[in-house]
Amino acid sequence: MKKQVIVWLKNGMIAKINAQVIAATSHQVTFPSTTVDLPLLIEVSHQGLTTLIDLSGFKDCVVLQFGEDRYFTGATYCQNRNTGAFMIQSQARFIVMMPLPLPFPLEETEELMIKEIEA
Amino acid sequence: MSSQDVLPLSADKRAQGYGVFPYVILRLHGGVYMQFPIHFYEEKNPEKPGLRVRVDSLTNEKQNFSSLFNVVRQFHQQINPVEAKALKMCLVLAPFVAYFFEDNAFSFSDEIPEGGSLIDANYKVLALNSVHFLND
Repeated sequence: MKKQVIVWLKNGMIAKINAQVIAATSHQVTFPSTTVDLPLLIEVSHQGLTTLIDLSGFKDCVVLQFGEDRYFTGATYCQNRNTGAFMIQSQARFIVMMPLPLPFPLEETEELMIKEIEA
Repeated sequence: MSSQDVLPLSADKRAQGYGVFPYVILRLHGGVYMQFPIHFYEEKNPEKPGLRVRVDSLTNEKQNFSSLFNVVRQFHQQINPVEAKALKMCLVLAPFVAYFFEDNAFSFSDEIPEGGSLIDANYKVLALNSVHFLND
């Protein structure tokens, strides 16, 4: 399933992205990179404080994180990893994984809006 | 796309920065695209065609690329407003990463413009029926 993700930037511009959606129903999210395309939206539906996302072997990307109010809380780069495990732990409720390179400054990210894509 | 009628970018145009990521594509008509290379530079303004972006360090790719939404928006404002409304503009960052600009919004696409007639700002043909970037 895909949804339209709209990222609002502080300078008034917006980035629209049709992203594949994954629901995080437990504290740990694992997905083989061969079955998941970027951009990717992770919607956290469990009630725990944090989610552990296993990005081992995943494609290079930037992980944008948003809180319950959908405001930007932080970001992580997932890039140039070789062998070995790579996980991030996040308190975010909405996580958008974008392919690199990113054409706007991370600090300009402000807010997230999510829309259903009409068939 | 037929491999028989492909005209790839010439060596001369390659030296001017055409076909190198990132670049901007302006769609003039169906199948007719105008390419503007984006040149990053530190001190000396390169006398090359396209958009020139002054940066603190050429090695800081993340920071340099992060200015590109603003660069494209400013470029869009420089185009004749009547034409700009009709012309589609696309920022191309990688073989599977592009952002189409319209109404102050950038729409991500994993499909980038290709094929057709690729021309430069002087309406000279750069390539025909080929990808718009160098893949060799």
